[in-house]
Amino acid sequence: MKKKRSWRKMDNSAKIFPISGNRKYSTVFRYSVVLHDMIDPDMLQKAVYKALIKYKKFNVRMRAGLFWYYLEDNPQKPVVSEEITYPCKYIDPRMNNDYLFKVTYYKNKINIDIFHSLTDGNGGMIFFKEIVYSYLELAHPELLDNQERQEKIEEIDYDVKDSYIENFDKKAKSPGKSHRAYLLKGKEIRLGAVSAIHQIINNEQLKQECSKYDISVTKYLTAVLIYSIYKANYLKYVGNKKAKKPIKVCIPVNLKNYFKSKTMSNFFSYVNITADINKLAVFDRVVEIVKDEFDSKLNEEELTKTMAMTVRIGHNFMISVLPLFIKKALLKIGYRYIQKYMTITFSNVGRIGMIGDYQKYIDYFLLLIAPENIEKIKCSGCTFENKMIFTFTSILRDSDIEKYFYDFLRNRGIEVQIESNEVNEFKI
Amino acid sequence: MIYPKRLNSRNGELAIKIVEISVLTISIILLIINRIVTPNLYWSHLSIAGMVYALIAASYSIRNGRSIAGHVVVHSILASLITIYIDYRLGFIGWSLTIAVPIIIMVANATMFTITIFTYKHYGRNAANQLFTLLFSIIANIVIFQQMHSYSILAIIAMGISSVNFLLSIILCFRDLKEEVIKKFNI
Repeated sequence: MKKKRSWRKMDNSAKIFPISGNRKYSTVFRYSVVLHDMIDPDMLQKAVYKALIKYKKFNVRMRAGLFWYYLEDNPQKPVVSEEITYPCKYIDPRMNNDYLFKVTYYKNKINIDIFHSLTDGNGGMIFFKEIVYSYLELAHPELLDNQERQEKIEEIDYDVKDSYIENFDKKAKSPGKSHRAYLLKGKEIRLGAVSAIHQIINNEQLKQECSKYDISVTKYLTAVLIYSIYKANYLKYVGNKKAKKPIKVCIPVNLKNYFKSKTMSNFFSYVNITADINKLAVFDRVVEIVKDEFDSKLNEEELTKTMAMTVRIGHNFMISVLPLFIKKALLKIGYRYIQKYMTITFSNVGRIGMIGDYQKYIDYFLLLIAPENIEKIKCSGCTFENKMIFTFTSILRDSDIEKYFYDFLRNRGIEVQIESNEVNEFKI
Repeated sequence: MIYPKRLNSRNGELAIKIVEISVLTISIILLIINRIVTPNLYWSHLSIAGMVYALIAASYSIRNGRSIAGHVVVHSILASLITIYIDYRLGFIGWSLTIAVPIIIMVANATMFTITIFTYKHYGRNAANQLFTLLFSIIANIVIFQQMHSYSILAIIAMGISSVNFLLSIILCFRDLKEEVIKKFNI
């Protein structure tokens, strides 16, 4: 008799990704960890199995229903392979035993590429940390005695409920009307290549610099990013002409910091930091703009409004009753239109904490987000010990913004090291 | 270095331009030869369509990180059979053997060479397919000699290109190739 497989609906955000995504827009993000020792593929395979036992909800595959995609238990084993292609590429289910995540390794680095329908950056990080913990325990069995780790395993408590629905406020108004953003200009790299440039920043020095402006690291780096876009892209391609469209930076926000939730499904929202290009000539002015934007938009009231809007779209009766193939066609067009409201995305997951004894085996973590045809560069950041790694993933052929960003920080006396996949040249 | 070596965007762009210019040049030459030699028979259109198809297939392969070298061999053989059939139906002048098949072999080699540059991790698999292409070009030369009782310069050039391509692969990945040959020819 055929075994009955359990299944679940996708959360409000998750169901949009497979409809809007394709080979060109993968909606995949990647976590990597760079260890001090070379990776043992067999141990990594075992570590992934072990992590999946603790986080069974990741053991799923995606299936198409008549109206929406859904997730069902995956009877196959996950694939672990050597990294051979560019980061954050489309995960082909046929090549990956239908899993929505893909674990790869290269020399001393472990990667996990995750399709956004499975989870968000926060859930992905929790699962990836479990793989890293399990791997290190297999490689260094003495770690198995770690008391703190045992307590953390016992504390694992999560669900996959749709927290958007649970926290949806029916009375909340939708956010005000938005306007189109300045889109990055420049020639694209052909044949699907993706450039990844990591700027490994001295975190102590960065925090000192932020304290001069009395702002957080995320706000400061957002300001530097906007200033770099203005100097290295806008002035290069448009010149000093008066601009109508502002630079808009989309900042994803982990809603678990604002609302009660234990979910491992998607539960994030975003704020759009808008900067009028005609006011960006001086960096201090950019900092003021960014500060004001964050203060006015990053609060529970505004996030509730954005969340309410996305829930209303996801549960719109007219959209819901459309067959999936019609939804796909309509949403693809709609999504391309919506994307024109953002210049760039910057997602900072902050500090990635690991238990003390495990830290000595780790050099640093990386987070990467897939760029796309309209948002040609995506930025991400994470911090491990004294290293803040700011990553540019790009499909642009030049790396002017990345270079300006690097020079800016260096000129402020902050140490920055570069790691990249060498798709684009980056001369220091 | 925390990433596998991939072709950088500048060299990639150069490789794409070389391939595009080569296809364009070959197309123009074919059109001219066609116009001079057999003005009433548009065989060059078939070859150009084949080249464009190969270009699209190679681009798809590289974009999605898949090796389509095996498909290139199969498609080359099928395309050759179709051109021979068309030639036969039109009264068999011999253009399919002396012109079309050698051009198909050359395009197959160019496609596989491009794929090898971009997906160098698949050297082994690509080399085995290049061996098939070489065998195919040798067979084509034998058939031409038997059927037409003469040599075709284009066919000899095609065999030469196949040999150089195959040799390059052997040099680059002798160990992988040995394993691949044992695997493919196991009984």
